[in-house]
Amino acid sequence: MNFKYITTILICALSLPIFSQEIKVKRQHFFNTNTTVQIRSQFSIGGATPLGLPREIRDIKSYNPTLQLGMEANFTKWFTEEQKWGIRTGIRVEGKGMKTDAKVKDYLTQINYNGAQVKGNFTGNVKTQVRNTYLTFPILATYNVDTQWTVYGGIYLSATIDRSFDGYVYDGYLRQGNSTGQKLIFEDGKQADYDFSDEVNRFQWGTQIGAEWKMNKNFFLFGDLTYGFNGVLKSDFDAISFSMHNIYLNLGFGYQF
Amino acid sequence: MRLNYLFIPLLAFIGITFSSCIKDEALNNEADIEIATIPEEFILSSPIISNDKVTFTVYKSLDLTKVAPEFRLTNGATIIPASGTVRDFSKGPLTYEVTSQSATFKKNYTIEFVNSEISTAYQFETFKEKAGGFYNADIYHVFYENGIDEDTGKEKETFEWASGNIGFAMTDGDTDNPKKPSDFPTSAVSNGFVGHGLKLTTLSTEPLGPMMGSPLAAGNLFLGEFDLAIAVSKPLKGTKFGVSFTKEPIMLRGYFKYKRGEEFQINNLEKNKIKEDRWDAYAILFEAGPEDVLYGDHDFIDEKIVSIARVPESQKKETSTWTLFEVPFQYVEGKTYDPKNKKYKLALVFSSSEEGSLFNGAIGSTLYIDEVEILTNDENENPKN
Repeated sequence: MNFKYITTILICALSLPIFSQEIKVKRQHFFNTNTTVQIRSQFSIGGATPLGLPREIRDIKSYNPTLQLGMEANFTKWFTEEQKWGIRTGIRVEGKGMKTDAKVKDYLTQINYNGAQVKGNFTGNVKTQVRNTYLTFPILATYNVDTQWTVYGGIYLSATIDRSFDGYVYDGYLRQGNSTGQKLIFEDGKQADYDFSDEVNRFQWGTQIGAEWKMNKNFFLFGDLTYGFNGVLKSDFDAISFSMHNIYLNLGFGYQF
Repeated sequence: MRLNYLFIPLLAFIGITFSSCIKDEALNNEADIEIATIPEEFILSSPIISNDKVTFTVYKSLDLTKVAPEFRLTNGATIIPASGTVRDFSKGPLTYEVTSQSATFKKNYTIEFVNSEISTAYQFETFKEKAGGFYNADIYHVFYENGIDEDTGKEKETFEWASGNIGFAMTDGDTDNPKKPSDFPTSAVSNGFVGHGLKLTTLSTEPLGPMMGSPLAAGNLFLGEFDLAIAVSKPLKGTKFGVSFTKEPIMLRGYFKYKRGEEFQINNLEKNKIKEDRWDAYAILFEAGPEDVLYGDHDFIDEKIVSIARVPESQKKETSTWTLFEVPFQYVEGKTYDPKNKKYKLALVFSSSEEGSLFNGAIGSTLYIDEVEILTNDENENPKN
């Protein structure tokens, strides 16, 4: 699985600075003067959500953030000896996902019915499960407020390495083609699947802001928010009439070398 | 703990994002006729309402030159001419336009009135091609019957036969290879016993049907309605047998040819009764108010049933020459034909696989049917007609 490989590579990469420390090279240069290296692990709560629920969504019956984990290694270069301002980049492997059960009315979608991809307007219930894995490169400005607090903000660029966006419709009816088309009733446990995994954007970019709180010299807790500027699904995918964005709260802890 | 200062605003932000209020419901885009009515005393059989057509089956006592059908529409929708407008339906079906509440969508409905008595002889000479399936690219046959209009003396369509073709069209969605009429379980053939005939074939719904729980489709033709909207989830409840009938049927007869498919597949073991595939034809007279029908899962057990004519096992043989079948109606114990006090409907069903409704059958089983007739007892005409 992609995730495992990347985690392994990440851990190997992380162990490099540890070895280099042991070598105790004292020569000073750009990469070891006024710099900080962190590893962080996080879990994420959020979702692929429209900005303001569209009118088609009548009720969110359930929402489950699911367990979405991530790991990051980053490098901060501080501009001055005081280490007030710095710039940070790194690499993060993170999962972003959710499960929802929503009630919709006249919701444009595309379902798989007996093998046919049928576009139409669905009124009823829709279950959605999103599980995407991203390889993310943050580019952040960092500011040490005091010895305990650090705040940071900037942008991130993500490549999608594992895409999954699917679900099914149930207890409702589809109007084939448009709102006046042939009615197809789904009830008594009959459901129709949909799978938009291939329509998930390969590239994501957005903004990230957050803060760290140091528990001691090495360990810290952090929380940040990420917001995706572009849609989770490709913009030319028209089977959903509104654009959805990744909005996540990430909480975790880290170790600073 | 100072962490709270961080957490509370963050959680508040997330909270606002996700609870962003459910907006006001949009105006309805649907433009359906949900219920269509005329005064009850003229109704012989509840109107059949499809997505773009309403068929009233009425008594001859209704003056078709001035009928004022009333409609209940999707909430907020409007109809032109307005519900309750008096119109002349004597020259054929008329069109109504329904506009959705949002005014974005319009849909035309054809409203027709059928008052001619159902014919009792079926030659399967008249059929039309209809487009169906998800891309409207699949073409299948629909049989219909003509009758002589007493007012004009001209021939006109009296009713359409129902079949599962419209459902079969939904078993795949290959736009590059749309289905032809002969690819469907129910179709017309030119080499009938006399003129055209009916061909019913048990077909595989592979590769996609089996996943949906319907591994095969038997060819069928029946008097009644195939309600696609309902059949999606409940195929047997979407199969509604019966049209109003005003005579006492005494005999079902017709001609058939039959070739059994090679391998008998049993997909429903629990209800399976036969060891090899065989065809089926039966007629059932049942007591019925305007709304009563027999559903596809009747299994010949229903307290409404009055008499049954079913081709016996001995006649359900393989033959490559046109062979006569002739079956008398047999009364269910305790039932009589009582046209003075009761109303009746007739179900007439043909199938290429007897247990097709259970998805038991042999792929390739082929039944040809032609020149079918219901003989009636003319001395016992329904005086109400």
